[in-house]
Amino acid sequence: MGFFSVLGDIYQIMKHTFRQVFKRPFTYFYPFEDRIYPERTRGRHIHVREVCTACAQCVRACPVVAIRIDKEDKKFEKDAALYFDYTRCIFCGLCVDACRFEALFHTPVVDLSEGDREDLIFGPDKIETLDRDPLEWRGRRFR
Amino acid sequence: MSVLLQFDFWQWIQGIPQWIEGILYWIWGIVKWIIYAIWDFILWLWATIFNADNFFFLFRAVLFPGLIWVVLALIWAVWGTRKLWGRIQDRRGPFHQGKYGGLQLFADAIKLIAKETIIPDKAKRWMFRFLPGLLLVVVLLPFAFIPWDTVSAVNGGWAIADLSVSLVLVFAFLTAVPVVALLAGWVSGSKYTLIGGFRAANNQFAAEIPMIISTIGCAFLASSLSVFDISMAQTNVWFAVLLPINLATFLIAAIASVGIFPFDAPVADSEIIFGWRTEYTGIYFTLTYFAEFAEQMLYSALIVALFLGGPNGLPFLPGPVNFTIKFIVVFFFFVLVSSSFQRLRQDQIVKYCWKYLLPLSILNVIIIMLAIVYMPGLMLPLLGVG
Repeated sequence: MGFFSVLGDIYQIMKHTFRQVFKRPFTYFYPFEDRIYPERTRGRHIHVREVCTACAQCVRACPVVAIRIDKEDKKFEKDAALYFDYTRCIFCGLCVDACRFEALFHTPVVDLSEGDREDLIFGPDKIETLDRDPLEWRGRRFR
Repeated sequence: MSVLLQFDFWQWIQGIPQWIEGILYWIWGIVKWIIYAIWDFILWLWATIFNADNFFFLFRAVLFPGLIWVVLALIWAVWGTRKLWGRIQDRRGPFHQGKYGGLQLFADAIKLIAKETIIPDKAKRWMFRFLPGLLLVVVLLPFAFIPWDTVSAVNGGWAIADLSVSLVLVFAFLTAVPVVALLAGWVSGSKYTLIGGFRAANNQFAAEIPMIISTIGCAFLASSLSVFDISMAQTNVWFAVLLPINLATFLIAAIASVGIFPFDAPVADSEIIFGWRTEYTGIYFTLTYFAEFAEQMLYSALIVALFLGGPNGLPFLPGPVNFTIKFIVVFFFFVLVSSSFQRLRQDQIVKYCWKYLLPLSILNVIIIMLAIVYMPGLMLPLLGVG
């Protein structure tokens, strides 16, 4: 009987929707929460200056000229300061492959949005550390 | 010579200040008259408002179960609807403004009001400006007849107004809503708005008859056309128990009449942009948007009053609390239905409403009449007659 089977379908749909109300949402509370990224995610770089030899192979390898090296800016014996331009970077990973001294790595941090284009050029102060201010919302602290 | 002497130049020039003074006093008299008139009006208004009887009636009509409360409830209802839609679709809904996004609607309203009001060249300007406000007024007025409490306002309760034909009056107001939609679609001067307007009229054409016949059962059982009396007749048993099919048909017909999913053909946004509301921007769009939710709220309140016992419920709770609990449950059901089903076609709406809703609603009335005639010992005590 068509009429009653349709009523049964309506009941099934309503039951599903009703249960859906009391489920947790699938969405993350971005930017305060984020998914766990895989270890090999090619996110922003980190530069370890202690083992850097200022060989500039990363600069040579970069296909989009996103890396600039400043050899005068020395902190240790023979390191250099790197400037990453994330307006240009395509996260291809060639610079990390080119580094033979394990001084340059990708990190799984991918949220790089800034309010200003200039802030996307990561100087030595930003590229050498992952520290940043924790995100705060209504007194709750995230990430 | 004697003719000339009648005009004494010196006397004339001496009299000029007196003449100016006279004019000033004359103007002052007009101003004073206006000021006294305004002041008398204020005094009259003050005395009228702060007469003890009038004051509590006005308080009920304007503040608590009346206009302000309904508008605030409307705003939170939109918030709750969006939150529920979000939850049903595995999202979070609004959460940035205020606790749990509770102030999101105020932010939205401020944004919409601040936007530019665009009136199309082909629109009939006066009607185009007038109709959204009329729509909201027409939808908000019937809230005066919603029985919020078991005691009417004249007897110190919270129910605002009681009229012997308030059920008919409420439907008279609600019938005007798709007329406004049709007119708005017409005067906007766009083909999409016109199609949407006719679709709104078609929805009403389909849903009105089953809806009104569904309420006939309640009016029969309570032997009254007053919404207040109908809800008061449910002290022994809710009419939802005696008229379950009518409750379902009224709910479906009400959804079809409001024009939300699955009967949202008048504003089908993937077919005819936004139906009869396409050309409305800024404050006018806000008004039509709120009117849609106000209509949902009104139908929820009517379902509570007609079928779910109105303010009768748990005896230890005051009437308005009972009413509001049931009201929230019914509104929740509205949101649930509107986010569950896909859109129906125009001919399908008319077909379902006339082929299924209409016979079902008549069927339940006939069943209950036969039950009263053949099983009076069972039925009459339930209705509080026997």
